Amino acid sequence: MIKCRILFEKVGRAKYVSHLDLMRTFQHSFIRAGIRIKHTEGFNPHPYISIALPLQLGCESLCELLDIQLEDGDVIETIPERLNPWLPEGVRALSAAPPVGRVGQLRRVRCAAELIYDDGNAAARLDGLQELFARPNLIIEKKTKRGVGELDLAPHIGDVKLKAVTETVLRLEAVVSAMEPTVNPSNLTDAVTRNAPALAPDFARYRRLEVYDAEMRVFR
Amino acid sequence: MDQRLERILPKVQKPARYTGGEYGEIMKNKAEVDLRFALCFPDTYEIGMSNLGLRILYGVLNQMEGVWCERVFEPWRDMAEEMKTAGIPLYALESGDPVRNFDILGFSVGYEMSYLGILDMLDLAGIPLRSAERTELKPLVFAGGTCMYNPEPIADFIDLAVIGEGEEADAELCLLYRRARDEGWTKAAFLKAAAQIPGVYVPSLYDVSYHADRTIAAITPKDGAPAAVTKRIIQNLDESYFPSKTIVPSTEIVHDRTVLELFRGCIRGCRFCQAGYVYRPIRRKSKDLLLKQAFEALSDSGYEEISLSSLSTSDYRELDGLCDGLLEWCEPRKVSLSLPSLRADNFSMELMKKVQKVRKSGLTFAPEAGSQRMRDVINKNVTEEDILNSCRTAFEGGWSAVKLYFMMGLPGETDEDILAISDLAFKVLQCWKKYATNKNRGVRITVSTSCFVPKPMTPFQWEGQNTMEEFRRKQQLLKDNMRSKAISYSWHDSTVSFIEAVLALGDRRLGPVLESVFRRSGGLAAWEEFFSEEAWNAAFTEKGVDPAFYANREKGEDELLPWSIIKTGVSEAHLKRERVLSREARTTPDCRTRCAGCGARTLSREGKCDD
Repeated sequence: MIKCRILFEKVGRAKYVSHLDLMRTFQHSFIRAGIRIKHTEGFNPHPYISIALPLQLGCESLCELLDIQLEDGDVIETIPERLNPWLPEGVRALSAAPPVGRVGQLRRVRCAAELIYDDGNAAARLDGLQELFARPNLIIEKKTKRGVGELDLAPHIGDVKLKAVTETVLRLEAVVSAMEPTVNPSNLTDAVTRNAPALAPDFARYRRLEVYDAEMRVFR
Repeated sequence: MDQRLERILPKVQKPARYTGGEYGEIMKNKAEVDLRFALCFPDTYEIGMSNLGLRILYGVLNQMEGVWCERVFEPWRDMAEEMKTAGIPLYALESGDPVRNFDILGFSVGYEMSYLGILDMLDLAGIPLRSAERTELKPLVFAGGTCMYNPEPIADFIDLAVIGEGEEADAELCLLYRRARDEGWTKAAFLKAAAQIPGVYVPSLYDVSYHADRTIAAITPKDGAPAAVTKRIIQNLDESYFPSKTIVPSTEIVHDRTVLELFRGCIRGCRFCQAGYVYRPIRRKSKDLLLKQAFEALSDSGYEEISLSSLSTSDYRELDGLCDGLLEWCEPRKVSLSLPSLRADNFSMELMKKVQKVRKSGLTFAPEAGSQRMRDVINKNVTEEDILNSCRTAFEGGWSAVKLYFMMGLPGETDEDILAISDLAFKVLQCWKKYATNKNRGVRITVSTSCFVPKPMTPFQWEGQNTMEEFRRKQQLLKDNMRSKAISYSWHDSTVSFIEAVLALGDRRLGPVLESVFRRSGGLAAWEEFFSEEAWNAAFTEKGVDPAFYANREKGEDELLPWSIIKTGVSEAHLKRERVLSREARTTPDCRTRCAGCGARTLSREGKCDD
């Protein structure tokens, strides 16, 4: 078997496809594409696929990673062009290569949030948000398996950039912790809502841009 | 995507069912189409996308030049509320365009409880509910599907109904609509012309008058509408459209697999079964074509499961060869094969082993009635020996879970017949004790009873349904007499079945009731959490309608029934003959053993049935 890691994007309408549904969608898509991949063992075998970092429902991404194992003799590099015609709208393989790092080494994610202010005065929030994200502590509520707890986001966010894009849209970009703790892009607006409610947007869109290891090298 | 929609989707459950964009959906250039068709299913996405008929019509209509057919489902309550708050009218999944701007809305209606879903969807779309309030040709609202063998309860809301199979009639309607629109016809002129299309029933072209006792005195056609509307059938299934290329939902649906339709119609003639009567004559697809279509559909969808569909799978003449051919392809590809609707009488070890090769599923038998007398009354033509033999085969083959389905409230049923259900379940348990090859895992026998709903177009269409109290008494009786802890018993709520009977057997006087119930409790009435007994009771009282008149009253054989205009090809004389036999607990052999002369054969151009 050949280990293969596919970089793919998930944008547009596809952002509402849940993690589990996306796994099933890929399983079907590999079969449609005639790409034979390793199946799970056992009574109910199905194509074995693994997605590195489950993406929050409603969040777009340009940097999702999917691991599969191809049959010997397959050509990894041709996977995107063979797979893409069979994927639903919004899901597209960008490249495929042998995995470089172990999934556990994926530590940071660069993500973006478009904060939308219906009053058309987005820029007026810029300074307040700059100040907010510079605070030493940024507590949010975080749901865990054990219930609702509190998390201080401040040590897990870095490289915050804020920019007014239009009258109604502010763009917030940051590098956040990918694992232990997992910081979702929407946690950025959670921090605003909790710590500076007056600055909270009316609506926000989220997108993952890139994934990194602990040393901020692009992870593949 | 509409930004208003984008804002509400994160707030609702399972948003993927409201976005479209799945693999296989059909997108067209709006500039290149002149007829927008909204194929509406009055229930959720998960239910609707599991419906083969819907997929067939989607494909057929989209094959038409200039027609873009899109899907519309009934949103779950949370989504409906958010849409109303945000001012988003009901939209089609492909384009996201509001349904109210479409030319035609075609509803597929397979279950009476989804009538409220039609009202819900029209309301969400911002389209007036009543046909009479929609004075323009556009949008045209019609319905098809099994429920339309008695369209009268929704006569107020639809402009017309297509009776029978829709593949050809729906397309003919589109062509006539296009002509009417281009030539500037009035809606009335269009409906008058549409009534001349075989299988099209236009309720507003019939005046209904009533006797003092509330029964129907006369149904009078006007404006040249036909005195009888005979259902449409596809003459040759091998030449009809099959969705080899179809939509694969990106979210889980109820039947998430490839479905292969083997044949339409049924040779069995079970007297309670509406499907068995209305889908006649029997038309099958050839084995080789089925294999070809199965491989195409599996390859294109990537599904790893295929299910054979028909009213009685084991009656397909070439089933062995078909299964062999399917398995030969499926096994190396790890695709599993499921065979629902197997009869208990010819369930063979060989067939079971074949299915088991890839994956083993649960086993369900439907004896329908506990006693032999009752099974003869309904013409089930299955003996206790058949059932026990099949169970033995199953237990010897390693199965340890069996479900047994029964109906309660069948015509002439006594308490002895009810208790016979318990006896039969106990015999199945003893059979397991005697023959099971692996007793370590224990056994699960599940008995389920539903409440019999007399259906139009069957020999039982004149029967009254048991009252809700009677059903509850019988359920309790059976529950008290179950003889082992290894047998679990579950039953359907009789209230829902009562409303089903009212709607199945009802007439156009129910229109105001449906509207009142909808205003009180909204759509999705097929879902327990949204079914409101209080709303129905209040609506019946408010509108002065006695539901028992429809559900519980036995109708006279000379009575003019609400669906008298509609013809299935099966003669009323045949239904009456079958009713007489049922009262004598006498069976009619299956159509393959001996043609019972029901009349459906006359629908076939070549007079063919089950050839």
